[in-house]
Amino acid sequence: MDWAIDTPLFGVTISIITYFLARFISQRLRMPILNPLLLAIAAIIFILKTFNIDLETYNLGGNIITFFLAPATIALAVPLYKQWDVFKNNYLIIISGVLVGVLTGVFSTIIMGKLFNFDKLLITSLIPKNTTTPIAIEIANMLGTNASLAVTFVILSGTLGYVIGEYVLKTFNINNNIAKGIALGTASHVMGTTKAMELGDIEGAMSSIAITLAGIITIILVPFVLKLI
Amino acid sequence: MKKLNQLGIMFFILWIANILSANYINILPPTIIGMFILFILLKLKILKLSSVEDISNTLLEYLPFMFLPIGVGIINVLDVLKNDFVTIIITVCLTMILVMITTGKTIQFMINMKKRKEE
Repeated sequence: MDWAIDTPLFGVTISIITYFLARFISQRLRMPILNPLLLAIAAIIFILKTFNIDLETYNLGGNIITFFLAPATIALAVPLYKQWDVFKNNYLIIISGVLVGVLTGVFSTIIMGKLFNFDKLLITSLIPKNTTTPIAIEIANMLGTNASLAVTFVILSGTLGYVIGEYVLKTFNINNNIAKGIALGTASHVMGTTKAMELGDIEGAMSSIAITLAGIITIILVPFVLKLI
Repeated sequence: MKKLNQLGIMFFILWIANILSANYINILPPTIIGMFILFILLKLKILKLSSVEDISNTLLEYLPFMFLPIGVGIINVLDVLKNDFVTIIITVCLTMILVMITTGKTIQFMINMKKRKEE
């Protein structure tokens, strides 16, 4: 079967079809946990496992899709530009909020990791999980831990934030636009921002500010974290 | 051809950001530097909003889909995760929710304080 799948067309086509079907199912069933992205990831993993297809074969096409993630991420500067006044008028509040969030994230992760008796490698690779992927890799290297494990946790918390973020905010009565956007970006980086963009322009712009701030603050915290573990 | 030109601008900025990140600003990834550059170019009016707006809207619309292959990459560490799978998920989930609540609540509280002061 190799001759059929040994082309970028396999990965690209299967991704588009699976995502299309996942969106269709998700819209029909209207269950928040059945998020299209989550469904599609699970479906493709299932297909690759069932037919014994290497990740590398899938990634011939997958990498082409991932390539567009970078220009899409810098496109976040556009909503940021449009909503700049909102940040300028509230910058102290926003920086304080992100700082509280990052500190909560890092310390709750260390505490829970110790509670569950995770080994040092696992705890350190969990620490950058609320930052965006490229920054998380940087932090993983600074902490001397496994980068691909760290990236996995980045995706997990991103996907979770994208799927349940809106409901968490609703449950805890967080209804201010700025608060919603910053909370999503600080907790779930670019994927949280994707949700924030769906909620509104201000939410989206604030969320993209939060990604950058949270990343930089976490990097600054790394030396202190190293002393704690 | 409008969107092609716009895409060209995005790639050019990203390319410069890549060079800067690899040689000068190692601590920040190219995407964050690229975001800064694009923002500054817009702010200084060197670049008009209309010269990147269409492509940005299109790219942002497809953002969730672009995470799909990276998500599928989890397949390679499934074995490592197997032993502590449940506790890891609990940790990731709980800490993520905690971050979201503390951040959101802090900001909401401070904004309400500010509003009260202004009144």
